[in-house]
Amino acid sequence: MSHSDAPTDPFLEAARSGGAKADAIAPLRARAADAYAAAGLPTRRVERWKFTDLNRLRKLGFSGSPVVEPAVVPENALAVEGVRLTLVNGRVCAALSDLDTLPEGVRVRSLAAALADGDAALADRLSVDAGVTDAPLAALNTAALEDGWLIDVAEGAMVETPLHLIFIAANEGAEQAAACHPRLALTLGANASATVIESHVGLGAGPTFSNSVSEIALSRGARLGHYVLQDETDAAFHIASSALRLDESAVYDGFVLQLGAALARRELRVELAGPRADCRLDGAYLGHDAQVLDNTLFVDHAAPETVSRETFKGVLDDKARGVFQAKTLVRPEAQRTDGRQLHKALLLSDGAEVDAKPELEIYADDVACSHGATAGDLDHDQLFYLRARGIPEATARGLLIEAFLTEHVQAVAHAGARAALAAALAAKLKAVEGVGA
Amino acid sequence: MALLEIKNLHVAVDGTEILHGVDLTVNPGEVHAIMGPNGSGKSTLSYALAGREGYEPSEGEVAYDGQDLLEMAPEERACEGLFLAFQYPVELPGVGGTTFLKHALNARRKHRGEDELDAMEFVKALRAKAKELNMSDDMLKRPVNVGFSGGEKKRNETLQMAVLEPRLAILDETDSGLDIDALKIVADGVNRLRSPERAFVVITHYQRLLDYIVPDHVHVLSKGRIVKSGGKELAHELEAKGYADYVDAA
Repeated sequence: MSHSDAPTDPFLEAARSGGAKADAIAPLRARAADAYAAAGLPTRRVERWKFTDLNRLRKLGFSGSPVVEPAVVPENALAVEGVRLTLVNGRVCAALSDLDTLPEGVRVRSLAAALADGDAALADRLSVDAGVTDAPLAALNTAALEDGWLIDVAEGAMVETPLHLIFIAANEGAEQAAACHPRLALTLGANASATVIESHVGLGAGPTFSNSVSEIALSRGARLGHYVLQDETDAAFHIASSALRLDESAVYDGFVLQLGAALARRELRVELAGPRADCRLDGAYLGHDAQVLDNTLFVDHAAPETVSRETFKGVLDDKARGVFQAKTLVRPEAQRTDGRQLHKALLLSDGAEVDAKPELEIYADDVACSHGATAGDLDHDQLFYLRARGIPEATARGLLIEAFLTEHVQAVAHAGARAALAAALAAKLKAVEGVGA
Repeated sequence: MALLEIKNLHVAVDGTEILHGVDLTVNPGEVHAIMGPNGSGKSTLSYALAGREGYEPSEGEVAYDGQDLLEMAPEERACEGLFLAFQYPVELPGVGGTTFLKHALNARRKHRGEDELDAMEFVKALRAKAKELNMSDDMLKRPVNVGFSGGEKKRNETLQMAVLEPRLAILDETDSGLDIDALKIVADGVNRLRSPERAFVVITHYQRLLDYIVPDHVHVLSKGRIVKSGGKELAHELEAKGYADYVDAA
């Protein structure tokens, strides 16, 4: 490739070389490479990227990622009982995966293995950009992906044991920036139920770029609990693009806790494709230093009597920035839709900033939709009440910050995930805000 | 030595002077009632003593156990044994009652150079005190004051006072919003704490509370000044005649 093609785009070459791979998804890769080449790394001139600037990522000049075989899972991964499925730099790490003890009704395959087998069905299973709008990075994933998980839960299977997907972005060298493109394709058959827990963590102090894509489909009546921790390193860039499709009466219960990374954007696109599909998309984030934490949601109510609930709460200190973009679309056929969005941010310093952009776009007339956003400092009355009981100001602030987020995490439906997320939050609060026992 | 000595206290709130020179001396073991109509400056006085932001005195002195109270941060005042029972106790969503009180008590113990209590000891002591105030374990575990009725909030203030064992307790309209049963429970809680070392300043609009917490001294606060002081009979006089005389006189 000539130098003049796009000298400022650090991933064009990776997209092009991925797009030229002749494997089971070659046509998909080629289309994805073209899509990435046409758009390039998003800039703030793109509406959906107005608040999140990837210039720091652009300047790092990422290459591929080293093959790393850690002996143990980083200790900040969620402490949860479950079947571990670990990707290190986007590649299956068999030593840290419990592939021999999969619960009944769950089929797990490595994407690399499926590609090597020349599985022709893969091309239908994966898409160029998971349907996400203005998502050149999702296309980059498709062009450049090496490995990931194909997970299928059988029709009617009631899976009690959580699947714990561990994503490790590793760069112990620190010399060269490492990029990886983890992929997940997950389906739940009709009336199946499962719990998927994700820990996105880092290893080493070198800069990393984890650019993951998840495609999740819930068939009629299926139920998925999906709980995600993002706690990558200070030198990490984390982009996650997820697409979720719910058929009739399917139920999705999701919670995302973002604590780590220099810059993280988790974008979720939900299609409520069948009547009475119901999704809860909750999340919390805690940002400090110059972190940028972005949660971007798009919910498409495409069928009647569908329900969406989004509640996000964030705490930002120092010069951290939070972004909450949430769009709810109600199509004309989606009568009796119930859609709610709420975002609350606590700004602990003058340098902290939050950009909240809730949007409702409604084409049906019989709907109940609402959105709300608040941002502010700690409540002065609460602070005084605590201090008037002898609690030092710093501790009082800490208790209120902890309460603001913990209260939300405590609402997570799954007990194991709830405890693990609360512990992760408590550990981070202690480390960055000096809060807690 | 007096426990609390207020001299010529002036306090302005949002640029408007509310207290125009209050003088008050409280000795250990005494119960003082401060009565007055709405808007006389009762709550301003309690906030100024507790150190609330925006209630800093513009003039005057307050000595607490011989120290300059006004120089202290709110938490320092509390650790030195000053307690304000709030007229409107604040709700703390997400902060469990037990956690809150443990932090408060341990801050005070630390300030005095005592060891912090372990969780088991603390919970045991807390339960015993809560029982005296007819408060369930569930109320202790729940987030502080969240979803509490008016009476439950006031009982919770009284519980905090019982746990923290202050030297000077200021009760700001603790009787407001209480039915007679709750009022008795709260008053019993206060009376259990009366001791020769401890003093109370009971701020109230009505005489009713003073039937249960019998004061040694009664003061009438009107338009930012103490306009009359007397014994407990003054409260009965006010109940019979109202504040009209004092409002006009001030």
